[in-house]
Amino acid sequence: MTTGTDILGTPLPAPAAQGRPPTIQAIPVRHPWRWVAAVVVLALAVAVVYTFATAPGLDWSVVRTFLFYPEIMHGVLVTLALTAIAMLIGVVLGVILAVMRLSANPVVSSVSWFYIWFFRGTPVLVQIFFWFNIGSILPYLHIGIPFTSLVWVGTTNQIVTPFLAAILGLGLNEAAYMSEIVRAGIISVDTGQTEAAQALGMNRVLVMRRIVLPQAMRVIIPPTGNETISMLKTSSLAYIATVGELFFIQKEISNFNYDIIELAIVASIWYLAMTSVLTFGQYYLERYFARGAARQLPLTPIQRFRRLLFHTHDPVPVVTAVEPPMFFPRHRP
Amino acid sequence: MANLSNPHANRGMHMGRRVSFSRRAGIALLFPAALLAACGGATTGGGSGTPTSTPAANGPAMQPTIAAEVPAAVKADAPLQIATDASYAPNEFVDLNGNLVGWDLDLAKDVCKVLGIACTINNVTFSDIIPALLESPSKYQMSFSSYTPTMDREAKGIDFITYYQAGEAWLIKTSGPTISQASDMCGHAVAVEAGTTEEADAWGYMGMKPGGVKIPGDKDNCTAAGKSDITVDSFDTQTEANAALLSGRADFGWADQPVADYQVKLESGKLKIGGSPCSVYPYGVAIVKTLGLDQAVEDAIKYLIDNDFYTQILTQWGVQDGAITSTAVGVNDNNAVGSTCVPAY
Repeated sequence: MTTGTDILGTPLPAPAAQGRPPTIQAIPVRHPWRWVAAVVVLALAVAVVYTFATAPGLDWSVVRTFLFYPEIMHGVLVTLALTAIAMLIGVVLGVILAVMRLSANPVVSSVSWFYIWFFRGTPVLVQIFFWFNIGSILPYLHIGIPFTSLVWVGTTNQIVTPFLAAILGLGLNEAAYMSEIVRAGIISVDTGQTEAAQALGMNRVLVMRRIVLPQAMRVIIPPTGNETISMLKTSSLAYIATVGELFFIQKEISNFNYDIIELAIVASIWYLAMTSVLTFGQYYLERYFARGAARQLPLTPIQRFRRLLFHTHDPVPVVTAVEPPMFFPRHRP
Repeated sequence: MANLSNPHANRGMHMGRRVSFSRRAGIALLFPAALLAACGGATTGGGSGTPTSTPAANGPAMQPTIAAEVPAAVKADAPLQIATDASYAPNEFVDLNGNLVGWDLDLAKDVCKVLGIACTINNVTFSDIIPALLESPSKYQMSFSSYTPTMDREAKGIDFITYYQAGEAWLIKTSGPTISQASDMCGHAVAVEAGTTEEADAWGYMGMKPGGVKIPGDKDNCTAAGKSDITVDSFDTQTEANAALLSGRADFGWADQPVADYQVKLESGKLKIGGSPCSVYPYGVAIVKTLGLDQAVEDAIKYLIDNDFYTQILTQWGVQDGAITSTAVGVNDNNAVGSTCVPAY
């Protein structure tokens, strides 16, 4: 215990002359406005939900009818397929573009720059529309192997189906964004890592593959998850190419039963469900790639739940990152 | 000829990109003004498709007896909001100057004059019109948009005052597969505008509602004939459906007779009509049932027919084939004249 003066120089009261000091009657700081704010916000939230839930024109039975309708379910599958394939193209092409962009070769790096400039600078809706109607400028496609006579000619519209048009529009656009994310990840890895790896005799490709990219993943994963969630919703733009995804199907149905809001709610419920699953998945993915960096991994929701229930007598052991991911270099400082 | 340039202007304004595609080379020669407007957003004087120098354009005068039938509540709410899907040339479309034109809209304006009420015409995506009419209070009170009166639409609270009749016609490329009847659609892609009777018919032929919802107890006529299904490509606007046909994305287009005829004239040599028109149904002015405006609109249309304003407008646009007599004007007439394109579904 220290005695003397406080920071303003006022002498502190002397300790009790003898024995222990009197027990301090600690009164927690009161926060009455927190309560007021909580009540106001809750009341507003309830009012908003109640207003929409009981809107006179809203027929919830229509929502129930169509929520698990076979055509809607099929639309959900098409949306998932669009998202998965477009993201796959985006990530693979994005990594290639990012590496190209960081290349010392000015031609390679400029091509990458131009690609990003073009595909990031035009609306994805226009891009889908372009691919969908490409048959009007290129009626035939010749697919051949160079320096051989193997050529296959088909009409563009046979090859670029509406689904492929949507995939091209979404995937190529996504690649531009992903390449910037990957580039940021690569840059975030300390140059000392590269230098050390080179000192060990690794070539550039090996350094990228074994040292830089695995460490860059920690920075790349969160925005990639974000992009995937965004893609799930952006895939609804495929409706302009008459692709039967969730948004298109709900629109088709509501065109004839005129329950436009009800069907929009059905679609929204599915979009929310899908993004929730993705959010959950992203959490685990981030946790996995944090193993090399974080001393203590955050608890999973399941662990947190168990802790909440049993923490008094059965604490969940804290998981410590002892085992680095196998592709991390073995001889780390 | 001036009229023909307009749908291009429409395309240009909605989707400027499309004009730069190669199949538009013909436009550059035939309609330089259209290209100009599409590329630079420039407005051009003249060349508009709106007939201006005719008695009909001056329009009829207000008819007090008919105007008296307009409910006071509607008058108090003036201007009357009219919805139209301006992608359906020559019935309703956007001209070079961005004006909403077409014979359907000329009729709409004349109806408003006879009723002595101010009207505002709004360009709305076709499939959004009826939901907007059904709002309470409604966003638009009336729609002139080549509507076919159907039981489904009436059951939702819309009345149709009939004023014209037109069939459905298949549009085909001169170099593409041919069609003469509904069964020829099986195994092919058909471009239609979302929310139209053509879209419903194409799905209905397969025993389904648009989106692929099966109609209980109905059969798929394509499967029954051992053929593969129709691919129905639905677009928000008729202009997009036309583009899909021209680019070869779809094998057939399917639209109302006057619209199909107009496209054939416009894309001379590239398109033709397949088969003969079928499912000739009346066109009806869509009105919110609860407004009580039916009688006034019905009498206004009869007045326009009896006093030649109607014929003048139709003749001007070359669509007089579908003209009806004033005795045929009625409410919610759902009956086809002659045979329908597809069996009942």
